[in-house]
Amino acid sequence: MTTVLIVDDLHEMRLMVKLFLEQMMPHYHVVGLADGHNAAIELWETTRPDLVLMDNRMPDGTGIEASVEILRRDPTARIILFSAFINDQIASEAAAVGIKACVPKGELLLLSKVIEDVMA
Amino acid sequence: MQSIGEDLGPATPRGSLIPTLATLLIGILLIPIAVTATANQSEGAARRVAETDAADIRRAIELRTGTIAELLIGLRSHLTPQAEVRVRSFQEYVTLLDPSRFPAVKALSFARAGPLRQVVIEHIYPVEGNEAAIGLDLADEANRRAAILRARDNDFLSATAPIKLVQTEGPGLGLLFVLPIYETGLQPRTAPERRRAFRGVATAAIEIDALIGQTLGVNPAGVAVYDAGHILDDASTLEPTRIYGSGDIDNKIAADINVADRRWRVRVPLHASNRPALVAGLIAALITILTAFLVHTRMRTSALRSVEAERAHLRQVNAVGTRLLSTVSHEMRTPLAAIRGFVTLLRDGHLQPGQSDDFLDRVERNAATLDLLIAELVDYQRLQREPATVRREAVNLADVVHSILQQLEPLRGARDIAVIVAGDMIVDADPAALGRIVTNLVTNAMKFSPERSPIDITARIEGDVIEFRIADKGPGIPADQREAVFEPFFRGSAPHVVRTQGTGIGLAVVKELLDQMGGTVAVEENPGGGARMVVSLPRSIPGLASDDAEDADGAA
Repeated sequence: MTTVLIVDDLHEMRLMVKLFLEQMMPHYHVVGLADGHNAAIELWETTRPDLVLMDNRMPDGTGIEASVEILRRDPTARIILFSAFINDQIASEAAAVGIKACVPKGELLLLSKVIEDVMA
Repeated sequence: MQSIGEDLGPATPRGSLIPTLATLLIGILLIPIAVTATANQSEGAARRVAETDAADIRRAIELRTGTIAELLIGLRSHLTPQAEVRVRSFQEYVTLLDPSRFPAVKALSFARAGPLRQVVIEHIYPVEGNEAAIGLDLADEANRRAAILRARDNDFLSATAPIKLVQTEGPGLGLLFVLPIYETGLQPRTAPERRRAFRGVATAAIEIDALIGQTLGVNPAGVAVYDAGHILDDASTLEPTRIYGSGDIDNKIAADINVADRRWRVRVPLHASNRPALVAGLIAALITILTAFLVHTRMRTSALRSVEAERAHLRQVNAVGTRLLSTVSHEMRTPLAAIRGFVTLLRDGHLQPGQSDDFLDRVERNAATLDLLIAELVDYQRLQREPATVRREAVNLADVVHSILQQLEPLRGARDIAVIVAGDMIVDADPAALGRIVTNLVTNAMKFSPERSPIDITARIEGDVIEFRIADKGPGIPADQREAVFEPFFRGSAPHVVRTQGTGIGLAVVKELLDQMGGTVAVEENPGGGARMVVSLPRSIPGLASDDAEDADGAA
């Protein structure tokens, strides 16, 4: 069983990703739902998940910033940026801080492939 | 898009020039009767006036070329987020422009850097009249090529030396503004890096007569503008080319302007002359010139203030337009992502009983959110245009409210929306505008209050006015922001509302529509917490009621 932390400030998006994992990737187990930058770091510390699905634009900080802090605490943490807005600049910034992959929100089938790749 | 417009209206120095020159002219007519010895003093005053004229003209040209530069920078930032420049992105940008605001700009284009050092025009606006330019290699001519290379290697706006524009008839000259576009995400800092990342250029073809003529309003006698070469060239070795006006180059007051990376020189004539005359004439001349000088100084100061204010305003509306594009594209992606995600789950997920209905509801709700965002875009365009003529007819407020709430049903969720509006609230209004007002106020209340909290809509008649209120139980609006909320793109600064979806246009549209119908809107604290929007609408439009009555009589 692979444990997953979902980070998104919108309730509906957290729900969508959680349902997606439950229904389409049943061997992934959601251990936490965080609604912002600070909650992401706190919940990551208490749950130490195998994988983080991270939104980027959130009111109290970006997902990339939260990833920097998580990777500082554990450089082997696996984080996928799952954001509504990904461009070349965000993708290269994400790669530079050690985020494993970027997937545009809504592309659930692509997300499932990327998760398999990252966890392989 | 009007927002990048450059119409200065009364802020141009024209307004200050004409009365000043007229007064000055009287002074000048009096000069011939002044004595030589003291006339030298009046020449000093006239010189100062001419110097300020030259400086004013310089500022006005700088302002206008500056707004054209902003137009190109806007185009560049609109084209660069995508990996590939598509015709659609170019079209998106230019359809927002109002060409009448840029009379001097004859064409905007994107030219792609290709093999063999070509820079070929791929998209142009307007297409009509410029069909032949598509496919033109801008780099195949030395002057244009030099401007492109300077822009490319320095990452700045460059301009060609004066050229003959294909778009203009007659002898008038033009020039091309060239802004480099580099590969997305790269910020090349050295010339070799810039050459490697170079993708093409955004260009504006500018008609000089239109640019300066528009600046000065009329063609004042003797004002001439010269192109004195590239800013890095040694100006003293160049023979300046006259690009505007007439008259000889000597004995005039000059001001230099940087137009992109070229240097222009404005020359203004000095009207004073030294002829012997009478002492009485001298005194009159001195007084008149002094008056002209003082009047001019005062008008110039106020003209400059309004030029500055206009410039600040232009920057603001330009920023607003750019922000709109980025806000809307971002805001639309979230509901779209939800729709795609839930559709994937509906198709491929192992659904629990009843879940498909829930997912379909979510798809519908997010589609409705997208719909509202698109309506806001249309609203924004409406704000940018001339005020539309609002229709006036007898409208039943209760009918409008109920029909709007029906449309918004997918977004209501678990909210209780209580409507206390009597059936006889007839108001003299535009039904579509009233619907828009109710929609925007209700969706605003939904966005800024918790998902399960109630919204109350009430109305009452106060004399000649119908007042209706929409109250929510959200965080409310701090007293110091209660006016700003009606400005376009205003978003609350409280942390818990920052992430709320929306473009920040809705309330600005409400205010605009109410202005047009003679109504008002204000926000106040809702007793018991939250915000309460209070709309007042005249039951009959002042000054129109009698016309309507006559029309009604005529129709009957």
